Amino acid sequence: MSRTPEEIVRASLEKHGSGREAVMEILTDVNRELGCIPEEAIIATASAVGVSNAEIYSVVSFYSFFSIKPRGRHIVRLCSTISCVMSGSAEVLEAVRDDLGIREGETTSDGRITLETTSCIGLCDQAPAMLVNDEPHTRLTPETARAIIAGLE
Amino acid sequence: MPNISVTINGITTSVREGVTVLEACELAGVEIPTLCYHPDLSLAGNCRMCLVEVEGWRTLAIACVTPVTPNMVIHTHSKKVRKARRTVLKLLLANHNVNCPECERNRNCELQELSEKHNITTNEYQTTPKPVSVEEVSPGVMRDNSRCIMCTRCVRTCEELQSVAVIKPVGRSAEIKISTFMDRGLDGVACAQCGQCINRCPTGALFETSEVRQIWEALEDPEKFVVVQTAPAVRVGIAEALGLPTGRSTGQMVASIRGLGFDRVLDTDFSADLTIIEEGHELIGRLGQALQAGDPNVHLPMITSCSPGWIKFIEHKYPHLLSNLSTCKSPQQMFGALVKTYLAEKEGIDPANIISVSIMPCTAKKYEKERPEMNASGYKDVDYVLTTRELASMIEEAGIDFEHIAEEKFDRWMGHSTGAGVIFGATGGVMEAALRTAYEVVTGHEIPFEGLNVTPVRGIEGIKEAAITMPDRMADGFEFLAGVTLKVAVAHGLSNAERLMKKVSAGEADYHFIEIMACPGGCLGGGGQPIPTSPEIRRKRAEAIYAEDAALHFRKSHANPEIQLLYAEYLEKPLGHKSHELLHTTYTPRKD
Repeated sequence: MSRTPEEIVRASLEKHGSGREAVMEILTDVNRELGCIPEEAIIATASAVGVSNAEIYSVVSFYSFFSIKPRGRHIVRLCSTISCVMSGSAEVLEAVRDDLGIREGETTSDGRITLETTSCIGLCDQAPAMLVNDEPHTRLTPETARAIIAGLE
Repeated sequence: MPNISVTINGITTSVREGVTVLEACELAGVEIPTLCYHPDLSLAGNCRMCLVEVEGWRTLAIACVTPVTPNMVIHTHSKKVRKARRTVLKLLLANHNVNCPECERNRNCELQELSEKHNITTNEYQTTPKPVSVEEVSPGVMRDNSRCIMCTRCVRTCEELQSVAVIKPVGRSAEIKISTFMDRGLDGVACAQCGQCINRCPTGALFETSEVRQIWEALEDPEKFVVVQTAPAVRVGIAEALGLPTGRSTGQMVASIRGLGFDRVLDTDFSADLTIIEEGHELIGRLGQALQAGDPNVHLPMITSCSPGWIKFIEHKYPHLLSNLSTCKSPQQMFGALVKTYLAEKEGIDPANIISVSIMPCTAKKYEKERPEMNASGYKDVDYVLTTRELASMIEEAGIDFEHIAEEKFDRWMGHSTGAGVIFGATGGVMEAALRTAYEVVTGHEIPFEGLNVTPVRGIEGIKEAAITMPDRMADGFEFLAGVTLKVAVAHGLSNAERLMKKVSAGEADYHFIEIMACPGGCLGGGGQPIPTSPEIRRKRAEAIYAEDAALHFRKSHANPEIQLLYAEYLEKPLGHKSHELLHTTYTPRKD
């Protein structure tokens, strides 16, 4: 049985304490387990750390790897910074969009994949690049990207 | 700290080590433009408006956050500095909704003023269409992020001065905005509606929810009998809002308001006095229950309930302390409940035709009048609330010469002020007024302070404490207080209130009575008062309040002849049946 957001926060507090410095650790734990950081987790974190809900919401909103909305089982993040654009990331994006029938920021209706674009992920020398969950894929072409996407459960 | 030598624009001067470049320039009489800097707040250094050149530095220095160093050579208007400042302004304008005539802060906007001073005549960097107004509405405070320059003065105000912290930067980079938890808007979170953010916004991104239009309509309607009450702090703020020096201007204010066409111009000081009578008796009652009857369940300390921002704050943050609040309504709402009952009878007017308006230094009062319980008269007790700033705009629109208008007096029945009512406008004022009356009720003698000035509860310190020991001989019926030392505390600004409430919650405070005002300085520093604000400006307003108190014939609430008449003819006695019906209220626990 899966844990509730509050349970994850409570377990994380035991590991990391309830100081302000624990906020990122707690949010990362929640995000890793649920794929997103729901409202209940923000409220639980804020009250444990002793800051306002708005402050934790502000932190969550700052990081693109954190999301409030539920996302797909896999998150595909295609780099949209200049080196990747110059190496053809626009065509790769077009191919992935076509294949999945969704645009950036959206999730397939079966909950399989969320598509996002991201700022530079430090793989400019192997552009165009994307991350599938935590895994980098480089020197993409529309064809290789399609194949990678097709291989996701 | 020792003094060090710095050179500013070629002139060498000596300043205390540790001051910032901005402070050093201020001391030297050199003006540095600022936007994110505010004397009430922590330093942010994010707007880059205050850049100056320091010899030997590769880049320009941010004056507000850079400490001076020995023999620093500073240039505040070199070519490089002027170019940088103009660029900063142009970038801010590029992302700003430059529709000044539409804006509440037109002619009182720091961005507008700086653009003018720096001769910026075109918005050359605005390549995309300017942002469109999106108004976020709440009963007292409105926000339009299209005018926001992300200086975070509101964010720091909400957190540092008020411990409310409901607004934060949300998002990142070009998409960043100031918002609330889950973007719910100020109405959907624990905002106290105090409006302190408005007072510190350099542009028009924050402003009050206006009711000027509705009031003009009421004034133009011959069927309506429009009654207005004016809060104590308005009379020391209105001149400032009209561009005149801070000072007392009660007579001109009354004349100007009458000139606008109000049928009766009355005084919230009257109901401040009434609050003192009711609250004073409530306090004595609770002390009697605790000290005489030995009731362990009596809720002490008793805490004042005049400040609606404070009420909303405690309802959200300390709902377990709601029974400690006095059940007295605020003076505004006591007044409203009496306008459509007592005054309607006195004037022989059908209350259905009365429009009850109040002029307040406060935005939370706009929220308070909308609370569902505020209809004791059978009607909405207060129909509209104007801030001091909105009143100033009406006076200007009507072309009234405030400075030279002949002074006039308030109308009768609910227009008599005492000094005790006036000082409600300053932090410590409710406490002082309550002590002047309560002491006399229980001892039969005036409170033993020279000139009735209870100085320990005055001043700008965040939390003030005082102890007053009762004499051995008390008035009949109050013997239980003989020799008792009454302990009181006063806090202003919600951060100070929070500090005090933490002590009370932890059982570490043995006070009998606590006064809380939501805004720094009390109502005179309220969210509806003139912009700008600073410790110095609030000090001047407080001086004016105490000067008004000292100049009035009656200094004690119970001496107010109209209050005596009200009890004799209508209410019968403090805490009586009618009082409970009209003047007392209940509170609602709310989620944080």
